[in-house]
Amino acid sequence: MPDNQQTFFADAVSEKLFESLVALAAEVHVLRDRVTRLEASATGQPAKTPDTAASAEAFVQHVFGGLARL
Amino acid sequence: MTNTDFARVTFDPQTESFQAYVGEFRKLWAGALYRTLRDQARSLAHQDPADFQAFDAELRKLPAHQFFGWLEHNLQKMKYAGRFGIVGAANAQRPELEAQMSAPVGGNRLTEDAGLRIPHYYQENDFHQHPGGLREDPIAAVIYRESASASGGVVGKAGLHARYVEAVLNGRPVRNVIDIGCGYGRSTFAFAASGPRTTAVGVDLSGSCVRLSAHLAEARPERERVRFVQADGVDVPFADGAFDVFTSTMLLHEMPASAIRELIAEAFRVLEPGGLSAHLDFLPPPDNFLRSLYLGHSDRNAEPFMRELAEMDIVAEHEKAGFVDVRIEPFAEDDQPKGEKWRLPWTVIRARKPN
Repeated sequence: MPDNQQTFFADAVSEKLFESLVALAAEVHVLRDRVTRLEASATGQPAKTPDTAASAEAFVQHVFGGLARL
Repeated sequence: MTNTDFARVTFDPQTESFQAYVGEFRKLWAGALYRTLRDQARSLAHQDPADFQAFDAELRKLPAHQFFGWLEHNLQKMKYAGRFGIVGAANAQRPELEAQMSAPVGGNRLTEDAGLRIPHYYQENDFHQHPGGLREDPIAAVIYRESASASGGVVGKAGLHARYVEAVLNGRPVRNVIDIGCGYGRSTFAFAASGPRTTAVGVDLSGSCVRLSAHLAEARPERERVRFVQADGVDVPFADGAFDVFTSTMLLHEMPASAIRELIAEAFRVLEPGGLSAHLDFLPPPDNFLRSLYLGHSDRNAEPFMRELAEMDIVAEHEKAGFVDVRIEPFAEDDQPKGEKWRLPWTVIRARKPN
């Protein structure tokens, strides 16, 4: 995960907050995919496992798309 | 087993999800965020190349640049390291991967040199933030290939090497090619595939890379015309005039200026009269914005010698070594319109040894 060897933001708090946000969002995304897989398995629909690329694209756009509109 | 199946790292579902997250984040970084930064940079003062330092300082103050830099550095790091990184996934399969890699290689396709003197610059840098680099770990090349093949990877870009070969040979048949810094062989295979009688030797400092390349060769139609040698490109174990093409792909920017000069001299030595020297690499354009991103990439992606390459007069260095007809030209790595996504400034450097 990100380290503190290089810094990019104007202040240390922003640096740490963004690092935490990206890490937290990664955990959420991995868990969301896992829940989708478990639900599909529980309902006997293993074919409906998530399309990981499409799922990640939608998630990243939803959470971080605003970065491109700063 | 096909060569694409050999020594692949299998991701568990969580790692697959995490890597997809990193890959899609890289698309946002290189696409929409890049365009925002590009548009904001146009309104900055100091656009004249003579004012680069002032422009660069202003650019770095933009919040969009701070996010851009953070993501460039850390997404690459996340791809490799951490709980769901490629290194962890490879380590979980290490016994099987090491067994595949250490299997005997058929034919005369592999020459390893356990006593090779590894240059300091190669020992001291984990290029592309690859933990431990490509030096000692027997599965380093396996990890490198997975990283290069992931979303946003440059080396693994489909069709890249065939386009490069076409650009430098333009259909002209060649006999003997030496390919320095061959990685896991994609460029070497592309040159060997350029003609039915073309032979190609891939050379790399990394024992893991030449071994993986030699294994991958076994399933390729040109397998009898390629071989891989562990050696330093500035001192290759071949006779004067042994080749009609001396090439490298994305190598120069990983070498200090002194080593680049030695490489150019070695190219002149092993090329026959009239032979072609060609390098696919990255050189900064005069535009202040793109130059800043190029130099920033050097820092953010652990490629410190990009700055030295940027300062070199590469034409003069070739001419000093004896080459003629030295040309530096932009290279289109794909058919996508340029300017809408962040891309490194691809460049072909070519020169000819006089007859």
